[in-house]
Amino acid sequence: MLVRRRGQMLVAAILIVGLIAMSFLLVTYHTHALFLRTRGLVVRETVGAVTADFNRALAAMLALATRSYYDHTRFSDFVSRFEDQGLEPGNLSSAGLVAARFIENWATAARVIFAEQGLQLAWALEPPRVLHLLGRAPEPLQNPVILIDWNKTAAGSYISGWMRLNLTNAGFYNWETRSLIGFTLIIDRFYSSNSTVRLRALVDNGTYYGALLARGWVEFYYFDSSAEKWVKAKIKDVTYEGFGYYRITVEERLRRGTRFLIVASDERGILVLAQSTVP
Amino acid sequence: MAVERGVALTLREPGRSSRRGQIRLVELVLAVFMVVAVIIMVMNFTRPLRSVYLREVSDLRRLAYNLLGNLADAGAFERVLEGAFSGDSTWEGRMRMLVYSNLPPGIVFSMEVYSVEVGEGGLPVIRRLDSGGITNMKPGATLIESESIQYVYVCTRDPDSMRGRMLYVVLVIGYAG
Repeated sequence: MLVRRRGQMLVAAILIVGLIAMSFLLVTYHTHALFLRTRGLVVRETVGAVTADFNRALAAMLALATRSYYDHTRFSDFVSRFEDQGLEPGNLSSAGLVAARFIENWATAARVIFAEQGLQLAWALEPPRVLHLLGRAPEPLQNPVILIDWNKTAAGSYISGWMRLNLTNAGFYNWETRSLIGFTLIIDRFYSSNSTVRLRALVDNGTYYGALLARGWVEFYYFDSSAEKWVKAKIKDVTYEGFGYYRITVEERLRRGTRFLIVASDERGILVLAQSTVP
Repeated sequence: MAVERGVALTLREPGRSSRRGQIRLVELVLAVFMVVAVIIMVMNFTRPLRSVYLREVSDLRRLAYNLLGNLADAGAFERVLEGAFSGDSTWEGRMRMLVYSNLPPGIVFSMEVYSVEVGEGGLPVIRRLDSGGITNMKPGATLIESESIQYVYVCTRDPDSMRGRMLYVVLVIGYAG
């Protein structure tokens, strides 16, 4: 009987010790899981911040190229800061080189700043594919990365890039993004009866742009054949119709066959010039 | 007969003890099951120590990222930090007010803003713009729970003098003790 009781005590003791050990393991695991959930890196926000800034870097470089190409002197507050980095007025090839260098510097800075998260970053600029935006094949690229296709009824400015990132300290790998940054302006129709042009503004990959009045700007020029020069028209009214469509009414009465030019900038400073003729 | 009885006894006794053993085993399994079930229930119904604070830490990071993302979307960095590049010393106060008004009550913060420039050899050089004034922390205050986040920002909005500038922002937010 005594031997049997001893055996029972032994079994009970082993059971209790086993249960305590199991409970300890469960509590440790539970605490560790909670720690990971609550103290871990916020991957979504970090990746979102880096990706958004990559897009901003592309946009800034496209703005630089378009502004320098259109009127280097007028936008000298911005473009002159990049002259010592090799930007030549109106030269798209030099703008492309400056853009590549700028984005490499940005990537280096991002690697340093996000070192705690173990950021690894690879990027490349790519030729923009914009057939779906312009409705026609764009002009051949004047440089490998920046596409400026202006002075047509459907005109646009574009830059395209690819980026892949890892956050090694968060166990997050191979986040890949392809960005097409651009500004498209399409002249839809000109109404001679009230000198009104209807146009459409799209940003990036075809998103309707509804902030042209609030954050961007637009200018209207017509070609004065007697003076042989472009004259800035006085805009009387601008109306946003929705879905990226705008109506712009100018004070001047334009004759049939008069060429007109619309210059627009979005809030990021990307310029585009669309041109058409009064029907 | 004695032999037969003895045989009968020897045959009966192991049967009884093995049944008893099986019953003990079943009891044992049931007991273990009950104890484990109770432990799991207790673990699920109780919180670890200071879990409230632990949960708030991730939320603080998200809050900080969302705040900086909103300021970026609104183009606030360009408009406020223009002063930092043009020598206007009031920009820190404006930035402090902007951050303060966008955070929930009870949160303390401290922000540092750096400019990332291209140095010799094309390497980035980080230069601090503020003088420690973008904070609502009282001198000597301690944070009982806080998080710091890093944010990189390329200026794209008006004015033109700010476009293309690269900024590095460090934001610490938390609860003061």
